[in-house]
Amino acid sequence: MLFNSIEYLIFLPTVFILYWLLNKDLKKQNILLLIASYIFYAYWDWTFLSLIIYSSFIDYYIGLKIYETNSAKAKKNWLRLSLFSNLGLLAAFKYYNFFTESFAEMMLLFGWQVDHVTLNIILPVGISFYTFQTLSYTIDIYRDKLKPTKNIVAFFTFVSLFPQLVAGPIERASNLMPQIESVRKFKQKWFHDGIFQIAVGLFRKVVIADNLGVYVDSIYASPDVHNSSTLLLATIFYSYQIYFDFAGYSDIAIGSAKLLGFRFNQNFNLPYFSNSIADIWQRWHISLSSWLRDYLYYSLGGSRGTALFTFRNLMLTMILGGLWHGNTWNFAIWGAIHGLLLVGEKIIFSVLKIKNAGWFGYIYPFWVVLLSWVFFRAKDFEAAGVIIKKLIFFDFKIPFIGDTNAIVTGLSMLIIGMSLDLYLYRSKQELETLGRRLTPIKLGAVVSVIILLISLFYSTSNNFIYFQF
Amino acid sequence: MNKKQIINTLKLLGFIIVVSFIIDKIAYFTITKISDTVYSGQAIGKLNHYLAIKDTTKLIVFGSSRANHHIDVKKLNPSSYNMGVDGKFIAYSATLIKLLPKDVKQTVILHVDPNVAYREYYNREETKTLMVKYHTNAVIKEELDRAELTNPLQNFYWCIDYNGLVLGILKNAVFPKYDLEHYYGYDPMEVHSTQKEIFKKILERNDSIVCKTNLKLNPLFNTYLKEIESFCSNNNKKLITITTPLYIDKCPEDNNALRKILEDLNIEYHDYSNFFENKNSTDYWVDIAHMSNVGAEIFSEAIRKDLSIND
Repeated sequence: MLFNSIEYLIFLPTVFILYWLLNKDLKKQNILLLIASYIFYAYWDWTFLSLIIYSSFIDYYIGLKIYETNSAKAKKNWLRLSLFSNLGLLAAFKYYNFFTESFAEMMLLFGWQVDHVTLNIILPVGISFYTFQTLSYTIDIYRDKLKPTKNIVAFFTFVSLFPQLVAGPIERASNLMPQIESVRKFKQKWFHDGIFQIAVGLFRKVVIADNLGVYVDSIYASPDVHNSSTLLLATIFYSYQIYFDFAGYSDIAIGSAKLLGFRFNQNFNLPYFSNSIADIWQRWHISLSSWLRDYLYYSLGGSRGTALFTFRNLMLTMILGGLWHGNTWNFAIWGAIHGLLLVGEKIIFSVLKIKNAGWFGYIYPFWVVLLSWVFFRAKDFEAAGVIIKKLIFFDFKIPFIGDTNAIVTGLSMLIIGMSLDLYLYRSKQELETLGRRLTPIKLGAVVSVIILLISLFYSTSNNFIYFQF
Repeated sequence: MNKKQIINTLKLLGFIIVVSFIIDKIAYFTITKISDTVYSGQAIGKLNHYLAIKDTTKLIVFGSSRANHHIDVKKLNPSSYNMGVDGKFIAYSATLIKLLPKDVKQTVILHVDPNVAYREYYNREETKTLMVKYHTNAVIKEELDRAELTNPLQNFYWCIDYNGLVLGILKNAVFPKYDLEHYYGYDPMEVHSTQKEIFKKILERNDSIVCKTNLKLNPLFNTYLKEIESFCSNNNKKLITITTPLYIDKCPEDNNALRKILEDLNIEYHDYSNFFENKNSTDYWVDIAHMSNVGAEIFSEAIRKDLSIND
């Protein structure tokens, strides 16, 4: 079920009413959430529910085993089993074709023709998100940072909680499990926050991102026929499209969770107002970047070694983080570019003995990240190469505009979206808590205006970009 | 959740519903008032223009951008209008044809594209732009309801009728582009250098073309075609179908199959897909499916002689 669908408009209030009708019985509330979450997922494809149940069961059981076992070796073996099961799922459903094709291509470089079988595998929606979520649970127990739960309903609800099931945020058990296991109280402030954030999220997604996407899709479909300025414009649009698409999704997720009395962590914090590449990664898809930092980068050794060792870990983390997004080399390259940028920035800052680049720091991150988005969006490596080449050897010709109405709508809505971001940045406020600062009348009026803008300017498109990951 | 919280929550939700409804209606009637004065632009202006002239015009061309940019209707009849619109196909045309007066003798030229006729998926989505008249025109409302393209919230939030069109309406209201006295719907395309360059690159790419082998007429196309034929024959309209030129048409099979279907329905059909054949020049084209103003003028002159509908 998509957040921007009529189905969700019916689903969420229904769950909301039933949920708060049961607010005197935590167990029943959690069972309702579990059933609702499975219905939410099954609306896409019920057969893949089995994977969520499998992943939930494995980590529920292993979590208990790790905790009960005193032997360090046994703990490690249980953890390995969890890693094997979860990453195995990912490998089978997401990376099988990537591995076999890459292996065959590598062999071809040595002159060996290898027959390989590619399978027509459907990528289960949300698999990258919920496997990381359950993994964090067992790893935290292994690291003695968390106690496992014996409440199977609570754990299964943690894995499948519908606002974050298919595209995050990747909530940690340390944040979510205590909320699931304790009585939730309806808070008017949270309700206001939630309503406001859902409205803003929908606006960001269906108005800004989807309108920008119209132009981006048309240009990226045939990059070879377009000139440099057209490709630059499309890439700038894409950088905002993907931001508002995913930030919008996160807003709806966080807002929906708040209506049910859950506080999710912030997932986007105005990333395009960052003053360095490292800063971007502390503001962009925060739940993933902090996951990669805590469970991958630190596990590799983090910065506890020589500079070269730190750089190696940074590169590996970013490349694997890139591959988490998708099973093509383009994503690996995208991750590698970010790794190199982070390493380069660390070196330059260290040589110049500065903490940031001052005003220049507010300019260069956007533009260098912009180039990396080409690999993220281009349909294959060849297309990305064509675009990068045209962007480097710039021809300064007039950009192709195409549908003027679409481009003007996209731009106008982008200005509104960025004005809100600028307001949040200058006033040092968070969108997550803006709703409570408005009186009910102001909140109602603002939400009504947002509804009007959505009615007038929404664009119909297929999906949230991050659903494909 | 205590009683006070329930009341506050219901109050807020009720307030949002009421205020958003009122704001929506204020916006809707304001936009409608502005929109009705707009006669520029393909989405609204042209539709308004069509509604204004449809009862008194003798010849009207319907169809997609290929009808719009290719047929200089004044060469065919002094009392004429080109209602071809970018990205609009048979469902859109059928809806507009059904708005024609019942007893007035008129000629309807319908551009048919075999590529659309034999499309596996055609969901008449292009009729969505008629949504601007959803709450003001009964025929259009009926057609849109039938096509199931309306938003379920549209009966509450009427502004959805103007989704994606407001800025265009405002722009065209403030800066009207056409001279209505002389504009008759035909929009010839001049080729600028960027477009020329893109077209050359597309040609250089020499993409392989796979012709359709399973030529099954799209059921929706078939339905609308029959409805148009029925409306025209019952309401004193002469119906002519036409396929305008392509830069190159390597798949004549679909045209021939469509010709057979149209003949069976007793509908006059003229296929000009390979009109230029050996006399072709890139100067006549904007892209592989759209002629430039130069090509369109040559073509219009030719069909004037061919169709003989000047009276």
